[in-house]
Amino acid sequence: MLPFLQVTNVAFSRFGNSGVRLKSLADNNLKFQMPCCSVVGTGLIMSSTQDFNVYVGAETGLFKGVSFNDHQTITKNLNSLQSLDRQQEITCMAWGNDEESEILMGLRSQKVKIYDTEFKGFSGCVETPFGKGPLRGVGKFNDSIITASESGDVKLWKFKASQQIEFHALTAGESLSCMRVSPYNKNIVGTGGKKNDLQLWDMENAQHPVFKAKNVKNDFLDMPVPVWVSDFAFVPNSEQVVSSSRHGHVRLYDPKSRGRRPVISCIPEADEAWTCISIASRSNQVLVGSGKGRMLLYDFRQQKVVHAYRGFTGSIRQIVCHPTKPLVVSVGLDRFIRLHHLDRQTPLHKAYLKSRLNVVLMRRDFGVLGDQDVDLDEEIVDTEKDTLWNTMEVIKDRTFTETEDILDKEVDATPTKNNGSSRKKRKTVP
Amino acid sequence: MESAENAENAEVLVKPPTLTASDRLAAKKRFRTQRRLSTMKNKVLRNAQWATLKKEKRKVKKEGQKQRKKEAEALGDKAPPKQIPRTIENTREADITTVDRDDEEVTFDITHDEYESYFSKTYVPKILITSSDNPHSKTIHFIRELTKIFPSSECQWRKRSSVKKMIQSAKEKDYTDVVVINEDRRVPNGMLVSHLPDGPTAYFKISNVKLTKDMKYKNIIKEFTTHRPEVILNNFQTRLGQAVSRMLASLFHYDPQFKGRRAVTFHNQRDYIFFRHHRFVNFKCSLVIYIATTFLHRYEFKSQKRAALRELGPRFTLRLKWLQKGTFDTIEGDYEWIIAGKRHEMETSRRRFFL
Repeated sequence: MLPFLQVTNVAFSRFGNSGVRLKSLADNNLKFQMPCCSVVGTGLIMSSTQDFNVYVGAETGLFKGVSFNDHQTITKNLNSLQSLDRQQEITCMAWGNDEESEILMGLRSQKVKIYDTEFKGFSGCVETPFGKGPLRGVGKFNDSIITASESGDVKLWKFKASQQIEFHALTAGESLSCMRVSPYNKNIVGTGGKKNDLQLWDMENAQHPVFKAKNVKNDFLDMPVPVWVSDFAFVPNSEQVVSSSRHGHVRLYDPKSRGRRPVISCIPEADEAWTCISIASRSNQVLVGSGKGRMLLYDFRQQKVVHAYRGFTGSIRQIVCHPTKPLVVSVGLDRFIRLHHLDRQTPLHKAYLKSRLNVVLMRRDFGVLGDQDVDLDEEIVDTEKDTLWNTMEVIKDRTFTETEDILDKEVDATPTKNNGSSRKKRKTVP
Repeated sequence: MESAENAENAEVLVKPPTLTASDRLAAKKRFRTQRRLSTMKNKVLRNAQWATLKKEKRKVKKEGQKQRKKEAEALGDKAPPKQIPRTIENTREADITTVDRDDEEVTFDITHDEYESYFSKTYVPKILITSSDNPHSKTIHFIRELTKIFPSSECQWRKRSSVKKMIQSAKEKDYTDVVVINEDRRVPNGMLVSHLPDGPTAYFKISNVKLTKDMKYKNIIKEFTTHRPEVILNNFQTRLGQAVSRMLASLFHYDPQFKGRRAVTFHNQRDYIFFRHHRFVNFKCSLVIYIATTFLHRYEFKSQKRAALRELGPRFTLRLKWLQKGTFDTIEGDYEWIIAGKRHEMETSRRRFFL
C-alpha cells in the first residue's frame, strides 16, 4: 500500500488547499491495477506489451485503456460504473506532462480528473467551476491546469487567486468547441467555436488575443461564409495552425504572415461536417474526420485528398495520428475504436468499446507490427501463412519489356487517388 | 455407352435416398431436359419444360418428406430431430454489437441514454405529428391514423415551416417528440422522428402503407378505442437496434391499459421494421411487454395463449436510414449510424443486418 500513500502526498503538494477537493484514492478501485505491474517499494516494473498505448474517454464517463498489439487488442475500463452518470461524461482529454505519465480529463460537470499512467490510478479530481457548460478544453500550462468551458470562459488555475489568469474567449459567437495548449510555442493557447473563429492567446497577456483569425471573403452571393471551428491543431515546428470547420472548410493560418486571413482555405469533400482534425506524420498532410463517418488524409499544400479510410458507420469524434509513424487511431459515436495505417483503407485493428466515445490519446511509444511506411507491393509478414505460401509452387510472372517496365515505374511514382490499392495502372505503349 | 455415361451423370446430379430402376430413368430424363432447357429459344416451350421439371422435383421432395415422416413415426421417441430449414435469419452474420443483457457496461450504456427519463416514468410523451407541405389524401389519412395510434399526439399542417424552427417552437410548447411524415408521389414515404430535449433523431423510409379503410374487415374503425396500447418490440438485437426500439417505445405512454386489449407491434426482421396494430378478441391471459423474441416466433401472442387477433389500424414497414445524435441537423450534425453513401462498404453480405 506504500506507493499509493506516496502518490497522495505528491498530489497534495501539487494542488494545495485552495478550494480544491481531492478524491481519495480509496475511492478508486485498486482492483483495476495492472497485473503486470509489480508494486515493490517505489519501483514499478512495467512490460511495454501489456501497457495501454491508447486511452479513450467515453460519453458514459468511462475511461478506458486500449492496448493495440500485433496479435490482439486488449481493452480495459480504468474506472468503475458505480459512480458514473451523464454529468461525468469525459468531454476533453490531454496529456499532463511531456513524459506522458499523467492524463487530464475534463468532465461535463466542470471537473478535471487526473490519471497517473505509471501508478495506474486516478491521482486527483479538481473542481474547476468557471463559466457554463461542459469543459471543452483542458491542458497543462507551466504545471498548472488550464480549462475552458463551452461558454468560452478560460481559466488558469493556481494556488494563489492573484496568480490565476482568466479570460473570456467568446466575445462573439455562440459556443466554444475547442481549446488547446500549443506544444511547440511557449505560452500560446488557441480557442475556436461556433460562429467564433480561431483565436490565439498569449497567457502572459491574456486580455487580447495575439492572433484573431479573419473570415474569408464573402462568397459569390456576397454573403458572409459561416464559421464553426470544430477542432484545430498546431503544425509542428512552426507557428501555423490548421483548423477544421463543421461547414466543410479546412484552413491553414499563419500568425506570422501578413494578414489574418487563412493562408489556405479549402473544402476537401463537399457536404461533410468536419468534427476533428489531426496532423499526420507526413509533411503538409492532415487527417480530418466528419460527422457522417468520413475520414480523409488531406494534403493542404496540394489541396487534394490523398486517401480515404473505410470502416466507419458513425460520426468520428477524435483522430490521433502518431507524430512519426503512419498510424492513426480514431474514435467515434459508433462505439468502435479503429487503428488505420495511413496507406490502407481497411483498419488494421478495431475494437468494440460499448459506449459512445468522445476523446482519445495515443502514446508516443505506440508501436504495432507493420507500422513502417509500407511499399505498395509489400505485405505484412505473417509467419504462419508464410510457410503455407513457401510450400506452394511459384508461377512465373510474364516478362515485361523494358519500355513497359519504365512506364509502370512512372505510373507508380505519381500520386493517385487510389494510392492504397496494389493494383497497377497500365499505360498503353504509344 | 452413352446411356451408361448418362446414367452415371444422372446419379451424380440427383441423389434420392433409394434408387430404383424407374427412379433412375426419371433422373436421366430430368437431366436431359435440364441440359436442353438453356438451349431452347422458344419461351413458351421452355417455360412449359421448366414447369414439368419443377413438378418432378417437387414430387421427389414430397416423397422424401413422406418417407422421413414415416420413419420418424416408426421410431417414435428415438426419431432424429426435425431438420431446421436454413434461412437467412438463421445464418445471420454474428454482430459484435449484439446486446448481451448480462454485460454490465452495455446495460449501463442503454439505460443511461437519452431515454432515461422516459423509462423512469418522469414524463408523459406528447407528440407533434406533421407532414411535408401540400399533402395528398393518403398522407392526410395516414397522419390522422397515427394520431389515433400514439396516445397523446396532435397533428398539424406544416405551413412551410422548416424542421429546425418547428423543433424550436415544439420545445417551447413542451412537446417531447416530433414526427414528420414525408410524402413523395402522393404517398407517404419517409418518417422523421425527433426526440425533443436534445434527443436523437431518426429517419425511416416507409413502405407498404395500408390504411384502416383498406383493411380486410369493413368498418374496423369502429373498433378503435382510446385505451393506451401495449407496445411490443421484437427482434432488436444489436446496440443500434436497441436505440431504435427505445426511440419507438418512447412515443407511447409508458403505462398501457391492458383493459383495452390493444397491442402495437414493431417487429424487426432483416432490418425491416413491421408495424402492426391488433386487438385481442377472446382475451384470456395477460401478456408481457417488450418481448425480445427470436426470429423464429413471428407473432408469439397468437400461438401461445390462445388469444385471437383482429388486426386494426394501419400497417406499414419502416427501414432505418440514419440515426443522428441531437435534434435534426443533417448537414452539421453527428450521426450515430448512417448508411447513405456507404452501402457498398457496409452491405458486405446478404446475411449481415444492423438492427
